[in-house]
Amino acid sequence: MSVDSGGPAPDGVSRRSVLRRGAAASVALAGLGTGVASAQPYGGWFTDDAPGGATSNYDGTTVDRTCEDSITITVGADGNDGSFAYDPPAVRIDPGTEVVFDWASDTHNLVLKDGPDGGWSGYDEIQDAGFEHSHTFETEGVYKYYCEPHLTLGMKGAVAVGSDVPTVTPTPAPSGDGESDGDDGGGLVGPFFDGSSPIVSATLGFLTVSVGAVFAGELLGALDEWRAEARAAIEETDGEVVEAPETESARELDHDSFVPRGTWTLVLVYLLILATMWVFTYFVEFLGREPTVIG
Amino acid sequence: MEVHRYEKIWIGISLLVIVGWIATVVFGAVGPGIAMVDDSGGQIADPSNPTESDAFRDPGVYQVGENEYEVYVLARQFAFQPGTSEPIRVPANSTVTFYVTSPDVTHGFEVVGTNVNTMVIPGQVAELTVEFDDPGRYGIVCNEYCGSAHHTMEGTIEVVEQDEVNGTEGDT
Repeated sequence: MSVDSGGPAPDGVSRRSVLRRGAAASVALAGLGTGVASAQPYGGWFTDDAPGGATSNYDGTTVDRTCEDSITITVGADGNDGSFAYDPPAVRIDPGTEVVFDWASDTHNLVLKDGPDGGWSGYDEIQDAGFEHSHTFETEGVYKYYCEPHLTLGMKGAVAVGSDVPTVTPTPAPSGDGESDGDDGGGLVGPFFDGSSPIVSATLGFLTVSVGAVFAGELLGALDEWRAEARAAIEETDGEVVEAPETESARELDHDSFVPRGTWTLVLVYLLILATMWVFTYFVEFLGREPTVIG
Repeated sequence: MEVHRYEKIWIGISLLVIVGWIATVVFGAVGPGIAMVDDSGGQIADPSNPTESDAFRDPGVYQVGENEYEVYVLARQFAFQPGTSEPIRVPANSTVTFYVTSPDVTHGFEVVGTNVNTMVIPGQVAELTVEFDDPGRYGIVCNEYCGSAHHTMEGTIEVVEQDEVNGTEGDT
């Protein structure tokens, strides 16, 4: 989707984006919006609508570092619940500026999500603290990148190269990961059936309360009935405890003539189940699956 | 005390079950040679810098003999190194000893669907020897909760034909 690349808005606005924008607008009007904005910086790259978590060290601003020859972006700076941030996360530079990526903590890389053709291609190999990667950005455009091991924590960054390159394009935030193209239905229907929608939660809440009330009423009624019965029983016997009448045994057996065939069958069935599970667990599951630990 | 004859039988059966269980485990150890992961991998003085210790080498695959390999793996938040960004490549019909440790928190190292499984404790090297017979791919997962992206922590072992192994990984 070229619309998301951060470049200038295309001349022809596709039917789908009109539909989407319409949907977003109606959602916003109905007061049901769940964060679907019609224009977000970097196409919503720093929110959790994009792949991975929301980038908490991105405050919505792009740091302006134009008119500089060389800048440094810290990789693995503090942020995003640990040392999982690019600092600064979003930066604007002039073409020809050298960017030095400086690793401040371990296990990070720079995977390019999207960027202009012929530009920087990221740095995929995972590196540790002390490593440096530098690149001189010549091609104008918006480069979005992320750290592969920590994408779910929101370790994402963006570099806008060129003073005129817009970081905000009038495009709704992509739902899903942007790679799946058939998300039209999801985009339109999503907000209404989303668990966070106020209507859905209000309906659920109402249902819970009313069903709970009905059950509580039934329970209290049953309790009252039982109390009345018990009171009546006590009044009948003037509070005395009545024992059950004793009965004569029908026939007597001596110890060994009792033959519990049913219990015997049950024991054998249990034994069979145990033996079968034993064979499957140890010989089939545990020993039967190569490779196995031998030292 | 009188014990019913049926009860005598099933007391006998339950004793047999216990004996059978112990016999099975003994058979596993003697026959197929199943071993337990113990502390033989050694300890690391400075857990956050395993590679500086004598007990641990730089992460990677090392050939130590004909068909014998050693693989040093660092499990860290939230990747196996090697394993996640590049697969661990070992040849088929080889004996591979994994040395796994963690510079940060406790992780797990499990080859999915097999009994190759150990806890990875900072400061302690887990040592497991495994025989890979046929070419194939195995997944590695971390099965000890290690932080907010624990669920994304996984890796791959590629068992390849003997002649496909190139000499780029480690030295002898």
